[in-house]
Amino acid sequence: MTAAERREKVAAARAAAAARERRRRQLIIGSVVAAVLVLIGVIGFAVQNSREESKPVVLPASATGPDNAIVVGKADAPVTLDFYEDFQCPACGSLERTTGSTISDLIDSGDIKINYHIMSFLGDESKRAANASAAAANEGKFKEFHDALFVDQPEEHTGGYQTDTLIQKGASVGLTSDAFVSAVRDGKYDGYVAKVDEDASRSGVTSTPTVLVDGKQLSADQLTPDGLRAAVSAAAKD
Amino acid sequence: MTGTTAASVASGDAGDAGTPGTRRFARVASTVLRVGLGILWLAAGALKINDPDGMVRSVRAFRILPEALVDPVAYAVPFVEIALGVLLIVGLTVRLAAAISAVLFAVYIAAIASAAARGLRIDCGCFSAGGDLTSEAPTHYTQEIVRDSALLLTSLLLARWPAGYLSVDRLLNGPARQPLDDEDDLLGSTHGIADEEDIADVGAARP
Repeated sequence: MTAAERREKVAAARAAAAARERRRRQLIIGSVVAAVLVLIGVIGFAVQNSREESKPVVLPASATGPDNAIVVGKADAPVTLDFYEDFQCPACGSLERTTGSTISDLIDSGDIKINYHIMSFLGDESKRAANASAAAANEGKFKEFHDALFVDQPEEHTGGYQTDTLIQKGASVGLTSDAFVSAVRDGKYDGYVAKVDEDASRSGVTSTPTVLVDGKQLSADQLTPDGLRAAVSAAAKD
Repeated sequence: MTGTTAASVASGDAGDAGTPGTRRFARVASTVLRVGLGILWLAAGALKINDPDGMVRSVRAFRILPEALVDPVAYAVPFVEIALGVLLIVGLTVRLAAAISAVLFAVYIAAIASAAARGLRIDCGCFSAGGDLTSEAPTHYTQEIVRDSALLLTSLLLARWPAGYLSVDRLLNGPARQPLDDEDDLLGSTHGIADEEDIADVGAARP
């Protein structure tokens, strides 16, 4: 073997050793990074979980429906509707504008009772409004307050439904008690609001407004005065 | 001698074009893709991290995961996305990070496609917490799938050619001293694509 060949061989062996070393180091770095990624995921879960530390659930007086929905209407009404609404949702606003009076008529005539599940997934405005509506429910004026909120619904995500606005809205339908005002200010029903939203989401409600008539979901084109009346009378015959 | 070394470097590059100019272009492109994808992950994670409720709703709205897994996944995903973003931006274990990115994008595409196929009306929550849409709001499934497919492609390109400039991988492994086989490169350090200077070094070091 010539000197040059030996040098080549030594160099090749050295290169192979360096490659092995590099590979080993990369494997270690890669494993550490992968482990850290998993750890970050676990820490993230723990952090968010602790942030979700829920407020105490205080049930308002008329929250006697399924999933603590607020019940409006006569207890012996033959047909039961479930309404899933968010006070900020524009489609809920338009439903209330077009069909609100029909809904009120059907309640007043004793044909239906409604379980209101007030959702609050569109932001803090929704949560404030939902808390205030629970406070109104506790005083027996949920429907009045609910209708008043939809009368001049603020544009979505524009910081509407401020505490003072909600208190004024309450006053306009006769909610002036200290209990109502302080519940609105202190977010007394925040825990309840979060629970209702969570329950609605769990039960598979994927959009608002969602309206069930005796447990059957209405399609979007049934959400009209005629569509609703037809669905209610069909359900009453069953 | 120098000529053969350069040739073997080029062939060791498995698939990269041979000339130093194209190699340099590949590294610049890889760097741009890497940093771009990293910033995107950071933004995607940061937009979601402050709305854990929304994330839970979003994950649940796809109706794919069992309820017990909804919270853990929804809570952990934004953190993992931010971590991936940091890894890519600083250029640590680029090949691993790009591969995980590709897997995530593939999962997201599958989830969106399945939601579209089942006629669910949900906001994908890709760059926000997303979740349920009101029945009037439009869905954007097609755009979301096209966008995520482009990002999947980017991740795959980056996993194939992870070596770029301004990366921690490069600091850890140093520029190439020897032309090595591509399969030695588990994490996408830089030595697979040697700079001209590096090749010159090799040539100079040899007797």
